[in-house]
Amino acid sequence: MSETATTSGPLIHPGEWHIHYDYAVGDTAARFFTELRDNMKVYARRCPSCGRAFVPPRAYCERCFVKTTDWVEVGPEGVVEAFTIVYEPFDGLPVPPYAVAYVTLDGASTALANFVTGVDLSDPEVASEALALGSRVAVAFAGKREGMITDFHFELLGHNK
Amino acid sequence: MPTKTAIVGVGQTGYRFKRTDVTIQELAQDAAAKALEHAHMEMADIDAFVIGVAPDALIGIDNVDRWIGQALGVAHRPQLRVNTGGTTGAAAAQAGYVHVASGMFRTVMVLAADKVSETPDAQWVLNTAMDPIYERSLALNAINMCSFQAVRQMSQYGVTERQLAAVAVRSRRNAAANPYAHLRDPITIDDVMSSRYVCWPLKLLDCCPRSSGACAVIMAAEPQAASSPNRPAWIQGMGATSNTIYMGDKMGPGRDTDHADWDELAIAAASAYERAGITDPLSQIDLAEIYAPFTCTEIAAVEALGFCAKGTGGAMGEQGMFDMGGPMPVNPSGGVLSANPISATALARVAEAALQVMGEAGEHQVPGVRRAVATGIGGTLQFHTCMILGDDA
Amino acid sequence: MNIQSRVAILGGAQTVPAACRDDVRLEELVFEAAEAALADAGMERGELDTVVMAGADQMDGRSISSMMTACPAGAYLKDEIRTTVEGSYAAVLACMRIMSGEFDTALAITWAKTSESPYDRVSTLSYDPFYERPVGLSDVLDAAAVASTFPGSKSELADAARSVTVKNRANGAANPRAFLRAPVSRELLGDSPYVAYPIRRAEVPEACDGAVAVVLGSKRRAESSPRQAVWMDGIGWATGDYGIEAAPPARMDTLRAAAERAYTMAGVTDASREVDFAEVFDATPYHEIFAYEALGLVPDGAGPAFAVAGGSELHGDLPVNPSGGLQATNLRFASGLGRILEAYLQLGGRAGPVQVASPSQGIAHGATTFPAQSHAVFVMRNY
Ligand SMILES: [Zn+2]
Repeated sequence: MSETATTSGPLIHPGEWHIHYDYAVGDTAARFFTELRDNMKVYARRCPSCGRAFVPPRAYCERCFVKTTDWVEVGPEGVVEAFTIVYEPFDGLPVPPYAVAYVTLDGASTALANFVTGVDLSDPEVASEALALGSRVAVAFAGKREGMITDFHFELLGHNK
Repeated sequence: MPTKTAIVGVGQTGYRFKRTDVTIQELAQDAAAKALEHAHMEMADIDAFVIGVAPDALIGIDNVDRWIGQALGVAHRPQLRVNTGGTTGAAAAQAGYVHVASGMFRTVMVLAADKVSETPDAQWVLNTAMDPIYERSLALNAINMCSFQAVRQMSQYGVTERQLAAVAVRSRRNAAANPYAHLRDPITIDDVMSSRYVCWPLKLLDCCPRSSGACAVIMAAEPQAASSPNRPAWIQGMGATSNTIYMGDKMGPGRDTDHADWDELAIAAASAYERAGITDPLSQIDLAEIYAPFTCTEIAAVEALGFCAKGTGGAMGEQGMFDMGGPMPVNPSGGVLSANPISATALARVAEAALQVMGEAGEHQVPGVRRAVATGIGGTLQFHTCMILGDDA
Repeated sequence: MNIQSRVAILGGAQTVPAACRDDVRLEELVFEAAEAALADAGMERGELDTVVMAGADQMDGRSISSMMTACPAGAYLKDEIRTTVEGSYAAVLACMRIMSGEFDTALAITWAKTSESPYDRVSTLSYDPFYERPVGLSDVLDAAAVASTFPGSKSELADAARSVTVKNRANGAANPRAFLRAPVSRELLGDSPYVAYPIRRAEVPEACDGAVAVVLGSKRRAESSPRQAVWMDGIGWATGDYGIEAAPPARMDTLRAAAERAYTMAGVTDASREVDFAEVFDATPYHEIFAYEALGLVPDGAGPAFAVAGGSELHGDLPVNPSGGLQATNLRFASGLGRILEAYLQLGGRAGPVQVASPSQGIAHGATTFPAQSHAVFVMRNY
């Protein structure tokens, strides 16, 4: 046995942990994704008790603890509630820079996250000003849609505080 | 009435980025041995164990708590694992507390350990904590969830990037006096302001490091605690609050709480304060150990704990309110911005608060401490914990 | 021991178990159970002081899976905590929280949606990465190795295992809450191929998706409850060695340690005489046989004969798993809270076709397999 294995530095055993899962989205989210994919529409789900319209849609209201009941179309425009511009690369995540924003679509009670396009991200100060809270954005659908949240993204429309 | 319960021993390994010299089992053993030595106890004196480990994937072993338990040599004794993300260590402390407060056990050891440096993919792992159906593919992780908070603070309250920087500068200044801290070199406002953006508006020096290390505390019921050679740090109150995972629910017009604020921590603190008989936190609490992994989060926390009005935390910090020697020292240890052994981070807040009450915090001791508060944060800034430690039961 | 408050179960529910609940996402399954348990207890979410969850990230395919499940479990803007050992540990922690006097009511909840995850791969990840994982250990292999250490006759043990599976599947066939509703014969079991000797394919139950929740309350709260309270008077839990146990693993020393604590707390001195029924961990029938002995329901060495003679049958001297146990409803990770729910229904006289005759005291047992088996034992009473 080689002596150098333990004297040239720490002994490291490599390991991998890749587990495949098949997440059932359930009937509620399935309807949402089907509308995105087939009809390019964004639907929220309304709580019969408090009346809030949740998007992404929830099958139940966490506050009232009752099942939600009906669907209501929201958007296609909305307002930026929060955003970030990612400049740092992370393993397994997209190549920076990219912008992610939470947007309350018109008619919705809650904000929905997605990538934002149409902004030059090279200068953080200029880009952050362009994305300032209150900015209006519109949902823009991908040409090829797969029934995923990334079937659409947000496009900046211009400032409107 | 709950059985009166106190922390009577604390052990920390010290926090570093890499610990290739030990396995996570050995890290845990080190913290446990130090806590026992501090409490003048032996492993045989411990009736039950609570082990806090956050996502297994950060360490790479499923149910790693049992691997750690074996290293403690506690087979056939009660052992229970808590995993609540960032709050894990604090939630483990709350679980440990009810072991004793319920009357079921005389003593309990609460231990948390992490070795985050063994995966290069920490933010990827934390991305897998996001809703796999609606949000995971949007590259959300622990850093940009805090960016969303910071932009709302800036927009709603006029928080500035310099105010954020002031939090980092103070944390590092305090950490210089804490031998256990990971990052101990002082930094300046200019250093923070000129560090690169990671997730705008958060820059590299607005962010915590990731650390390896372990922390253990020993709790005991009143008769044992009262006869401890150390001054006991009595657990006077605790609270926890859970909010929705969906950050967007805290932003739209239908929100009950705002992602800019830590209204959830205010709820947890109200519960802890009521149990502890605190009506005026600024005068009745001597210091705070706050789980603030990013500069913006500490600003939300000092407001939620009732130290200053909502929207003023940034400005008050910049004016020195939370400095050592100020009206409310925050994170004398250097806090999470100076050391972040993820599973153990929130327990380290409890341990540091206990050491302050015991009068054993060393060079970063606040003089004359009678009561301290420790907080925890986890999930999408959705889990909050609060614990009050004091010098009388 | 100076317990601040006696703890009672005030209600509970389990979703209808199914092989694959792809009509709901995990969080919606959790909501289903929480909503039904609150309804069973006649309570509103607003009356809950705390929510205690048991869930394991790798089983759920979500890191810190409680981030997703806390609010559907009822914890929105409420106190909440999550343990990960096994489903029954939600009850362990919930009971302690109420016993401390800090909380008056709690919802304990757990779930299994293993139709989404590769269980065998996840189970392998529990092993020590240096010494055990490379050897390819898994929980069935471990159970087989444990069975090999039973001191008695191997053929008598295998025969008893068949009796247990036949019994539990017959109970499951009668239990409307069970997943596998078809009985099996001794012949079918005898013809089933080995997975790992001596464990046969038909002795390892198919897993199902489902969620289980119980509502617990203090003595004071129980007094105003619309349903018969069932008291959690003895609780004991323990975790064993990480590797193979030092003592013969079939002795289940860890379960013995847990049972001893629960019995001491409840004042049970001779379980074989004082207990009316038991709901135990039976991921394989061998686990149930070893549990008879470790729980003190029969003398050491008498487990196999007890099973073969029918003592643990639904109308036997001491019915074990009248619900059909895991052999009929294998909610991986979550089954311990399922045992508690079934024992609760028995003690309230609500077990339906599998009701045992007027029980007053029962045992529920939750466990994990190796490595480092963990066991929790509950002594439950309706008086
Ligand atoms: Zn509602």
